[in-house]
Amino acid sequence: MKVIARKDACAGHARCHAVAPEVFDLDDVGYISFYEKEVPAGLEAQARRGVRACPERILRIEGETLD
Amino acid sequence: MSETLERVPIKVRRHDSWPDIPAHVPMELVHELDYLDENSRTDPFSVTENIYNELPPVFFSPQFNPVLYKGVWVVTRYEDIREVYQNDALYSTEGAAGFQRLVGETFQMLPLAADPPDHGKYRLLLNPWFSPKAINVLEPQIKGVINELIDGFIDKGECDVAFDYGRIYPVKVFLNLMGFPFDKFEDFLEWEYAILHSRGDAKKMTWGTQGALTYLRSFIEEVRKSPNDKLGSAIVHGQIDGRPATEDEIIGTIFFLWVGGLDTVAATTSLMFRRLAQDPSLQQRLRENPELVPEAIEEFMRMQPLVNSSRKVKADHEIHGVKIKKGDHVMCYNTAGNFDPNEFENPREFRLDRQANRHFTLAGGPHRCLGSHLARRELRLALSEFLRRVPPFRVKEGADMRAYPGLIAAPRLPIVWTPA
Repeated sequence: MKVIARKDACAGHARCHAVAPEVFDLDDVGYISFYEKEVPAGLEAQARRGVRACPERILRIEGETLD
Repeated sequence: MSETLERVPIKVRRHDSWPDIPAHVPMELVHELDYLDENSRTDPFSVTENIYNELPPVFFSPQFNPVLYKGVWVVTRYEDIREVYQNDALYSTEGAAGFQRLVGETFQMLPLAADPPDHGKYRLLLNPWFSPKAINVLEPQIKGVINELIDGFIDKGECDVAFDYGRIYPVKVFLNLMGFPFDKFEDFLEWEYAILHSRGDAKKMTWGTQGALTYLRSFIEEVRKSPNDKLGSAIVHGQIDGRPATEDEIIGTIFFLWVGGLDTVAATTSLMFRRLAQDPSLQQRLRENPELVPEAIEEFMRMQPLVNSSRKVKADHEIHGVKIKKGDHVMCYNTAGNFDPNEFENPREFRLDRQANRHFTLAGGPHRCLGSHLARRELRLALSEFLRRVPPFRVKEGADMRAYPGLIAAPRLPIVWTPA
């Protein structure tokens, strides 16, 4: 499973990190640190929660649509 | 918490003879939205519960803002609010929160009033001070401030949780972060209430702005001579885009942080405790499951939006078929949008199991509240430390339960408990 982030549109709410800190790494000032990332095994449910938590809707799981 | 008996139509009035309605605004879309009125409902924000049935998704409110407009388009749907926040190519923050114009000043509130890409240059200087990591460093100090206040009233079996607790701890944290002396506490709040709580009274707002700016300019001179390791000094000696910050940028940034830093968390705290004091089962649930406190804070923030910010329109366009003209203002009406049933299931219910809670209480898009992580941490600690130490509490008999569904919130809230 892969998370895709429209990094340049991140507004730094850090809600993804709040619900799934091991998936959504932030940079030093609190914005998403990657454009895409392989989700570590076992953290798939957390990753989906993190994607759903983004008020800006800049996150998605590759091959899946947002609810 | 049934409020059937309290249910009344949303307080809006239509006028056929408003002055100053721009020619392109159809009269059938003019509705005065007097959303700041106080009420004594269990949930003061329930005044907007019929807004989706009774009003079109975009309407024109002829309300007066002494520094921005004589009327404003109001969007109430969650998706429209998101679009206005996110689309900075169409919606500008030019002139936003420009209280300083009341006293003839021409500087801009920063970073708020700058559009991208300039906006990013100002955020760059400030973001490191407000990141989740930076707030981790502040946490022990915030906890200390909170516990010192609790020490002061825990044995008495009562306190005014709005005035003696919520009003004080965020300001103490903010003064220390900026490097402002603590003896300015009462002056700051007096000036700030005059600016933000006087409901558009230009005379009071002018007085508050004058007082604050005179003080802040002397503060800037002082830290210019003697730098320190606080945020105020970092701004005065800061670099913007590789050059020293100008006078206007320095006062614009410091005045903006000053306006934003003093009472939003206080207001949220007062409304949070107002709900908890009336809802023993919610209180008990959070006492038994402290790990639910962060979820609860999100839900308190969703259900208690305090700020409805507006944007200036950069080009003619339409929203839901309504012609919006360049130069008009559009207000993101979170007081309704945070209860949009298309985004939030059973929106008037306080729930701790929301799959997603993407409220815009702290705005969105590039201008997402700079202090959002500090605010969340303060609220979390203010609630969890209070529940950890203070026994179950309730509203003191005879207390005035009037509250405002906005920044004034519940200025007084006496509560009682049986000391351990």
